[in-house]
Amino acid sequence: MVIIMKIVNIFMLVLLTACSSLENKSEFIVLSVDSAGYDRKVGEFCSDFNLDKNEAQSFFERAQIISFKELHDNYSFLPCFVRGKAQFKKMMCDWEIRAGGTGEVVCGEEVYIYGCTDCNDILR
Amino acid sequence: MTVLQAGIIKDKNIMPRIFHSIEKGPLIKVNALVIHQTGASTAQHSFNSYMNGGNGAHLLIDKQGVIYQTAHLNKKTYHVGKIRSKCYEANVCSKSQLQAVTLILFKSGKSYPDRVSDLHKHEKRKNYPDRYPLNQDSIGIEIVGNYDKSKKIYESVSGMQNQSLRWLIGELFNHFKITKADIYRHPDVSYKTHSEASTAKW
Repeated sequence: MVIIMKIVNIFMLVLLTACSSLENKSEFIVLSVDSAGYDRKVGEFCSDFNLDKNEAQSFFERAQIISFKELHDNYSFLPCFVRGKAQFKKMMCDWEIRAGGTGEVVCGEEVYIYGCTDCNDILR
Repeated sequence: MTVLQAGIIKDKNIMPRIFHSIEKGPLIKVNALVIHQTGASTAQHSFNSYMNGGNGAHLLIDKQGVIYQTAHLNKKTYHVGKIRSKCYEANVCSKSQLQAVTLILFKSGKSYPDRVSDLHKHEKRKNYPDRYPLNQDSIGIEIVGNYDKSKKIYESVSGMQNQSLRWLIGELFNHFKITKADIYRHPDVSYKTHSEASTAKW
């Protein structure tokens, strides 16, 4: 009986962890676009990069959570970004989308990296 | 002094650990070295990734400064990515070159990823050293170092790693007609995270 309870607890923990993961895209809601900017020198070719709330939402619906290695190997990390706030379940999160199709979401201590190969229509 | 034989650099300081899966055709001429950091905490992470093919570099320096050769030096690997415009970055373009590059980079209505792709295609047509090195004419050296997602920075290259890097570069100078001017950090060449290999010293 004790063993069965332990197995059930482990199962519930795994289930809860899966449900709280940001891969559950329907519960990730972009609340605001707060700023646009760039990392380095003035006159960056992408310095006019900007998104509205709907475009940012669309990015995160289409993008995949990726590892840092996948970001490094497969994407251009451009110096221009748009930042804002989002809600995931009851958590407030900060998001960032970069002009090269990469993104980042910070919810509390957790940092998620995103990549989108199907977002060129909004990255212009 | 090391011996280079059939693409393998033979020396007691270099451990051969070749992954054929990351070798993507012949490397006919070596014009440059590109210095990378792995974005992971151990050499094994890179080895695991190399086993699946895809991207990879020729040499890897682990946390203790041990050097592994992971691809033949006469074989191309995918390690550079899409290159920036060298003359544009250095502010030395001719008038016509500047016009061509700005036309690509500032093309209104075209997506930024597509502009980067178009710039790469434009630059590829040039000969080195008028452009940055490509996969087809460079050797990649990876230094094991993790990326801190919260602080948004690669960990610093250690003294042992830099010592190995200096020695390795010195040996590669003996085998290929390259100089210090032909050594690049990865983000200088391609659009990558700025801190990659920023603390590598040679």
